[in-house]
Amino acid sequence: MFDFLEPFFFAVFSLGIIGAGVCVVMLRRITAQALLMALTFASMAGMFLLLGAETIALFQVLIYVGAITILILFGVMFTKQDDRGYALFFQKQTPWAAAFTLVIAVPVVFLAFSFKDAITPSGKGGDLIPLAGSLFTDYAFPFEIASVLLLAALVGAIVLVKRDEQ
Amino acid sequence: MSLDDLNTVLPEVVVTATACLVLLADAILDRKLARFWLPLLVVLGLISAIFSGPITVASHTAFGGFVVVDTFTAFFRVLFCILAIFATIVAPEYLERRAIPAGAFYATILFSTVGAMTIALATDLITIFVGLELMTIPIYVLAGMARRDRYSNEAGLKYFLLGAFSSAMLLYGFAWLYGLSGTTTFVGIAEAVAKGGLTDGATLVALALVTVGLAFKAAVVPFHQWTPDAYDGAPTPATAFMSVAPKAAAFAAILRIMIGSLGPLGLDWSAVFAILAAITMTGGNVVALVQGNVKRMLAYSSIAHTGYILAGVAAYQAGASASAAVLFYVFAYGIMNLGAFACLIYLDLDGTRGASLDELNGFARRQPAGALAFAVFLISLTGIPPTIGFVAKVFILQPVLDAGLVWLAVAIALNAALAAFYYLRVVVHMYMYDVDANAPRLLRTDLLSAGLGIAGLAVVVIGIVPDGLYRWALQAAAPFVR
Amino acid sequence: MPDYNLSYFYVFAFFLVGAGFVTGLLGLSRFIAPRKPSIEKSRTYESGEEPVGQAWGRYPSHFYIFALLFVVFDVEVIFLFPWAVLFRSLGWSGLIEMAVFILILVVGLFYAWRKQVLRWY
Repeated sequence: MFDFLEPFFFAVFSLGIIGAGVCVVMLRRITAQALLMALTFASMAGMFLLLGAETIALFQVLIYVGAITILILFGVMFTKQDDRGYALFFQKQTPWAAAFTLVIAVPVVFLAFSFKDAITPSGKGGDLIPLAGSLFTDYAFPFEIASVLLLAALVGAIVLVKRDEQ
Repeated sequence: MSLDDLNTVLPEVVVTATACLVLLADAILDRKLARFWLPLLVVLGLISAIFSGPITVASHTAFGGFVVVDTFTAFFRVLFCILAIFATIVAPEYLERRAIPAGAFYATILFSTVGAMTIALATDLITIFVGLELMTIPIYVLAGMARRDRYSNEAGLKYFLLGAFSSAMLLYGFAWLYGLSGTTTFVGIAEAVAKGGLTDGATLVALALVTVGLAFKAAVVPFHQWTPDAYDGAPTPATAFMSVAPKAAAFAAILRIMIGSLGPLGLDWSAVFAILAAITMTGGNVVALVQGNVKRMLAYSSIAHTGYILAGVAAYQAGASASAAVLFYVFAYGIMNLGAFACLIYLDLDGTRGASLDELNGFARRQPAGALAFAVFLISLTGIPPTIGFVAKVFILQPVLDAGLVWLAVAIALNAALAAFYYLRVVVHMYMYDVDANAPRLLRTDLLSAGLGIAGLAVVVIGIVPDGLYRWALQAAAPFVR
Repeated sequence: MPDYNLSYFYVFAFFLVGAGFVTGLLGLSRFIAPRKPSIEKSRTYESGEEPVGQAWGRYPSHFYIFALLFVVFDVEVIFLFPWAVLFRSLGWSGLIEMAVFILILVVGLFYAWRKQVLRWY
């Protein structure tokens, strides 16, 4: 009875990801871009839900929709807002970039369909415990390395934005 | 996690602990004490990291097989630690003079070292990716650390943008590999790829994405555009480190991924790698010829050296001697290139820029020891005996010929001749020209001279008796022989 | 256990009801509230002062450190979730793993504090 739901939501989330993603690239209002990026992240979380990975979906919402968007908006606060268009030094190549991307993207999209039956999600939901198990046993080393990575990012940010001592 | 697991990754633990200690010491000590203690702490930590791990071992796995310590890992651990020590020794006076926060600088180098070491012991895509990120993210910071210098800002930003782009590319390639094989371990991927071959279009996409991502990291032409600006604008001690450690780590990743896991497709990618190698060495050398700034010239020359190393990877069919040649060259390149960049630290110029050729005029008369070291490194980079650079080129040529890539061997020989012109031009300027009236002030630094002296000696001594290092490299290459 | 997709359909229905409630009420107020705009009323409120300059000022970049600290500790919390679920079965080794993870980050916090980047002014 609810068979139509999955394709329907897949379409909605795809539209969210691709549509908002295109807008992020094409728009020139940086706050709107940041919020649209959050929409892309949120749609991505929806995709994870469809795949039955609810923990990952939750993480996606907490980290990307929550924290990373805040980080980007903070970044926006540091930018200069005036009538001059910002960051236009990339934009001259837009047609070339589009053509180049198309040439690469089209075959990639077609080949992606070869994965149709390659991997099926192991189950629907309840992925927190297996995830935790492999994270803290098999992937214990990269897990600790991740904390070093966070520390490195923190120290880097401190060095780069610290105000000069008087 | 058990004690045995912990013991296996002890060197990584030691380096991480050293980094944390450096941060704590930097936070607590006052400036005078910190100036003395921080570099000492870093060097002691790195030396104990070298000796806390085995130098040669049979393969030993930990964390349920997700971490492997074999001869390859041991080789790269020692190399990364040596490079970090060298970069630390040459830095202090420069940092002091430019008001770059020393504690953060050393800690950042240590973080990057941990990342590089992680790459060497990875057995699956996730670990190697986390390692790659931990290796590169600190390097972006290093490049931009001279905050008041716009070239340094540019270097940091450019490196960050292209680095993030290439990481995304690589990660996408990893996702395809996972899609193909249903596993993230190198062994599992190798099995799946061996079964399917290249007939599957998806394999081609995965191979292309991974190749491009790794080529960005190693600065292979045509994916090298970030290199000159990043190397040129970064503070010179940072340049010295970032021109060697990430490159060595990138080649560790290339060997682990391309041979260790995509080895079954070797016939296909090695042809591409051979062409890339030829383009890279030629492109790097030709552009280096016309550079007036020595720092920028060395940046292009490091691209050319990527080409030589890549030639060794392309010749992987020659067996252990090819991988061993890559390892030997990476080691040699690490020492001589770090040394060459470090020699520019003597010149006290504005901002982060390097010296022009005229500013080096008569350098030998003003700083004889430094000029001698610089000349030794440049001669070694050229590939003239009796230096490590010469031996490394010979070791690369051998497997390239064995693999039947005669044209590539000819390209290497021609490029070496081409490179001699711009390397030796610097030596001529240092020794044959009179000092300019407005020559830059020289930094007075004993630590730098000591470091360069040891490295220069190593370049010559290993150049005369390379057997020990080569045998070690052969052992380290053993995990890649089928 | 209910069907996986169906259970999220309830979540979606909940979301629809919530969104509908808010839009409905806001629409209603727009419809029935009196609207008599004047210059004084539509001026930006700046605590009773005359508004000066643009709302979009540029903030000093050292505030970035707060955003980054937030992200770092957000990620840490994320890792605490799966850890808490398996707390008992992971035993001592799990506890040590998490302690090391947090300790490494605390070093960063301490460094930030001592380097005075946590000052608000």
